[in-house]
Amino acid sequence: MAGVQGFIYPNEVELQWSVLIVLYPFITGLVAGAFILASLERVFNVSAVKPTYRLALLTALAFLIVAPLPLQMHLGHPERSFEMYITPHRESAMAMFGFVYLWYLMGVLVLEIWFDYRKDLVLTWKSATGVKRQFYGALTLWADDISPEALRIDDKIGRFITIVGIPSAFLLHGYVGFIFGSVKANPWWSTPLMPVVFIFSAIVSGVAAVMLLYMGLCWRRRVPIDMGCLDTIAKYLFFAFVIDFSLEMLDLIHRIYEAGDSFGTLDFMVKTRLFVSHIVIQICLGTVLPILLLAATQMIRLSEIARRRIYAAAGALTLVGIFAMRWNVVIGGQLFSKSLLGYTTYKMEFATREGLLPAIVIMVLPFVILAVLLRVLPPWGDEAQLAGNKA
Amino acid sequence: MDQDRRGFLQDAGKFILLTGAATIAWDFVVAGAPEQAPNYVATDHWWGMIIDIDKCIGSGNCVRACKAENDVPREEGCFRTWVERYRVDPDDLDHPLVDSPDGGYDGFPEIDRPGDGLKVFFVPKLCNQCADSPCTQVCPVGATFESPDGVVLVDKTRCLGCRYCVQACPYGCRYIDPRTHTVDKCTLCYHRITKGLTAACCEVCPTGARQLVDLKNPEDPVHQFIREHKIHVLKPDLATGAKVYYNGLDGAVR
Amino acid sequence: MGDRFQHARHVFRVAVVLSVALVAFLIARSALIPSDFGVLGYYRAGALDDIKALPIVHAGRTACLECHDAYDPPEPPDDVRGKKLVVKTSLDPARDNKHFQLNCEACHGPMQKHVDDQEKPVPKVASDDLCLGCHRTLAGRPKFQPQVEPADHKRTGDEKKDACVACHQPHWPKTSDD
Repeated sequence: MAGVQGFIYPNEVELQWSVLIVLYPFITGLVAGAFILASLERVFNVSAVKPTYRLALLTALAFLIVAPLPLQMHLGHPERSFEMYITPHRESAMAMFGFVYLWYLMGVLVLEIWFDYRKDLVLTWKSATGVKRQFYGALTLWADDISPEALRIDDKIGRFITIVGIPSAFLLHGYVGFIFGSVKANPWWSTPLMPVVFIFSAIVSGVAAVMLLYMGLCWRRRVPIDMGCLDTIAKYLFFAFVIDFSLEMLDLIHRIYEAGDSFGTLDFMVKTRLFVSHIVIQICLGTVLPILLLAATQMIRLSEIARRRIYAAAGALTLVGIFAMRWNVVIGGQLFSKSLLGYTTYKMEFATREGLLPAIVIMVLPFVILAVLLRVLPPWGDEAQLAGNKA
Repeated sequence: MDQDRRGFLQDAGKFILLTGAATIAWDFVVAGAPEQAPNYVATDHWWGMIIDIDKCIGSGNCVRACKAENDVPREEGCFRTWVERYRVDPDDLDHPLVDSPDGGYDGFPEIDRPGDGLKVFFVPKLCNQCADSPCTQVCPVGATFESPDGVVLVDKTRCLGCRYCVQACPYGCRYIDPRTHTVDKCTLCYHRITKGLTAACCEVCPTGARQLVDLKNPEDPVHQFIREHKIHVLKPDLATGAKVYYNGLDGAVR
Repeated sequence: MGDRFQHARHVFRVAVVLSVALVAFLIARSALIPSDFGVLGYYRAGALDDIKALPIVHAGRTACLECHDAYDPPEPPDDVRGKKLVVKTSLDPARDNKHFQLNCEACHGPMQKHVDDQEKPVPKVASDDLCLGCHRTLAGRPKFQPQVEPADHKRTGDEKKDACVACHQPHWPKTSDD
């Protein structure tokens, strides 16, 4: 058995959950984080981030649509996955998650987007012709009331949905954390901190993703970046990061201090097989460095260009770091034997059903969907005006 | 009179014909039922196993018999039961040397000579048929469950192959069958024990180290066995309600 | 619908769409759930029958003794008259037979196919490898198990004379005290 060190149970020779299961919490994390950013404006009236409000919602939707795909490609029988909806085992976090996902998609995200965009959809419907007219008519459910009273109702409902959506977003990604954190058989996963760590790392990754998308799209549209917006996003990213880092350090310090029966095995694993992905990429490059960069922008007066470059670097490093965190949790939890006496390796293939190639395609797909959404539901209505007002 | 006799003969003929047909049909009905097991009542039984480490000689009979009985793939990583060999250095109790070459399918090659100073023993392992099993708890669709007679089973027509149960089992007793892409594990030879036979591994164990037990049967030797021996289950700190009871389980066993 | 809801018609449309979807889901659900699901527990009860119906591969000692009991030989049935039924020497506990505790299939392998169709013979399986599988000296084997190191055990150099079965009858293996 190549790559096995020490003793593993005979059935543990192959890893059960592959890189696709690493992608899944990463993607849902981006969804939850993007939504929290959107809710900053809608519920907490942080008006500075309004330029990214619609973009954040569309980003969340694009990633949420793709989220089931890695799961379907992983299942031995994807054609039976509907069973999770007709006979969900209420004791299973995975089963309940199916409904949390559906609720979040339909009850929160789609509805919020619909109520926020309704006026624009109706206007487009009325001014379009042919297929485009049919399409937008269907999107509005052929209701064309955009009087001030109707729009006021829309605004109230939208606000309500966002308020409900915040705990829903926490539930969405907290559940994913619980799926791992509740497995008592695995000492790397089993901790009550897991859902909390997942939520905060989700917020960090989602906010960073929307920030980078905003910068990238402004550059592509040759529109000046609203620095007030960007600075505010970076500030919230910094705060969320500090909380996330504190939680992760708390878990680590606690484990090292208590040094329970699994500690020797896990410590050895982190120092050898997970050294690059955990210590170098996740902690140093992916957490400490972005925090320092963001802290610098908070404490030192820097020029606009310097800040933009730092934000871009910090954002990119953040995404790499959070992906590494998902990798270290999912793959790391399977590299050691449950006998605590040995280790195995993850042999990731390339062009197989659960290989690197489908993983890359799955990560590219949300951006393709986002590009389509940006066309169908342009978020830039206010933006152009804002930019125009500034000039 | 003729009419009556004819009527009578006709009736008698019908009666004989129908009775004959019914008798033949009944044979078919009974043939589908478990042989020699008149109406197995699941709630009368609560199955488990006792394994006596002091008796295991590491022959590998159980591993071979299980694979034959249950059509288990011969591929790497597909074991419903397996045997581990522990070699414990009394000066280094925290790091026992453990091996399980092909699960013990072909027995064990000699590594030590007796008298080397290491404490060596064999530990057969299988699904512990947990009464509070963490694996059935996490199944999202109710494809794995505990039967009314205490055996943890898999419904292969409903299993999605999500592998959550494989992650949740602390004992590493589950695997994915590469042919059906569903999970598989020891069924305690459910198809045998419900017909009055014993599990295949117990049938062929040369020393009687493995014995199927029915905890609900007051005459089962398990009750006396538990009274007379120091019994252990694997990973008791995880409170799984394991029903495989080991005698002579050394502290080094994981 | 009074004035208050005049401008909320679009909201009702959304509510209707979602309600229709919910109802469709509930109908599909009741159609797709197997009828025996949840009867005994949160699973399809028919799964128990599926598993019970799996084929038997090992016949079990009782089945062997129905025809092959040398100690209490049965009346041979017509279809196997003339065929060898009785094992050469008895698995007799009264004669202090150490192999009495061994079930037949521990050495002979799965025999249900033979029970179903006696045309399929029971192979002779006496080979050194089979005996040594249990009796080779191996660290970790308990002391009550007779163990030999083949290279040191009564070697004459003649392959036939050195085979285990040259001195030990598998159904009643003599020990060195006999």
